[in-house]
Amino acid sequence: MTADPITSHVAALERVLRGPQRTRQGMIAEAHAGLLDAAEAYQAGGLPPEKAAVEAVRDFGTVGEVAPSFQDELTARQGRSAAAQFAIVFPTMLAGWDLLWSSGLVRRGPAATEVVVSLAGFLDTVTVFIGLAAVALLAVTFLRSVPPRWVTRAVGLTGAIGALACGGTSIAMNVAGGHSTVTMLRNPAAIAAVVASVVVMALIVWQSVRTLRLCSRQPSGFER
Amino acid sequence: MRPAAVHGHLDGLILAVLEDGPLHGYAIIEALQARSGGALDLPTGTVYPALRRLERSTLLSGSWSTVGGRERRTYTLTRAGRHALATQRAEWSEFTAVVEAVLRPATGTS
Repeated sequence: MTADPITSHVAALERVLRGPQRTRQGMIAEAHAGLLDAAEAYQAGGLPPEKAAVEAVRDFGTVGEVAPSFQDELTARQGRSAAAQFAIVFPTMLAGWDLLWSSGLVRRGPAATEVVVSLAGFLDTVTVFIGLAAVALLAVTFLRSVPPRWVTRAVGLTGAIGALACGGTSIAMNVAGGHSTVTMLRNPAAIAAVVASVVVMALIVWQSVRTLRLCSRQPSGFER
Repeated sequence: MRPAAVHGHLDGLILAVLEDGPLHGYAIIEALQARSGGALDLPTGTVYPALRRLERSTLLSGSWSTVGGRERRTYTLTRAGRHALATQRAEWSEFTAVVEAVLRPATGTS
């Protein structure tokens, strides 16, 4: 018994595609429904079911012909999703720490050194810059004229650079803080905030790597 | 007509067939073939990503619905899509007029 040509073709297409699961499944379901519609149209024209399915698949195009445009769209969606996340997460982290300091729940300990103050200023600037870059890239994802791979790669790099710069500066700041850092870390609220920041930074790195890996998939890599 | 000749114009063609009202993916493919008199010979599988691209650019809005007992994604031209279609039509008219003027055999020259 041979497999249904439509089911086999859709499964072959799905196997080569990578990207956001919900969008991928939606695109595959839509293509599947379209193939069934096409086969029904051929049947209505007098072809037997199996021949009609073969003709529908032939009209659809080979996996090598259609997969690159499906993958481009999935890459674009990944870029948009990551850009939206970065645009929210970076400013929220900054606002969260500012709120924590201003609430009085966490005390700074002895007066901060000049190095710590400079690093804190740098951290604020980098965070705002990364947040603005993410917003700008999010806007670019709405343009059809910009290749999705370029935008998505820029989003991945923005997240990775942001996580490295913010994470590295935070570590340097706490090391330079010396006794002030030790005092701060005796406070449960401060510990919770540090743990939350580490988890968020790890998630940003994960999302950035995932986004960059998707961009490395070249359309020419699909089986033709 | 070869797929390469359609490349770059597919978005405009899709916007045009959706001008009269919402359609699902296969109905759009049928409308493209009907309006071209069957001359458009592109892999139908390339239409679905194009629809998603137009939706991402807010020129179309898409939603799932059950049509004829099957789950289908139906697309509607948005206000931005109508504007883009009008722009594309104007650009195409200008382009074809220029090309036609150049291609037309010269007459009355000595």
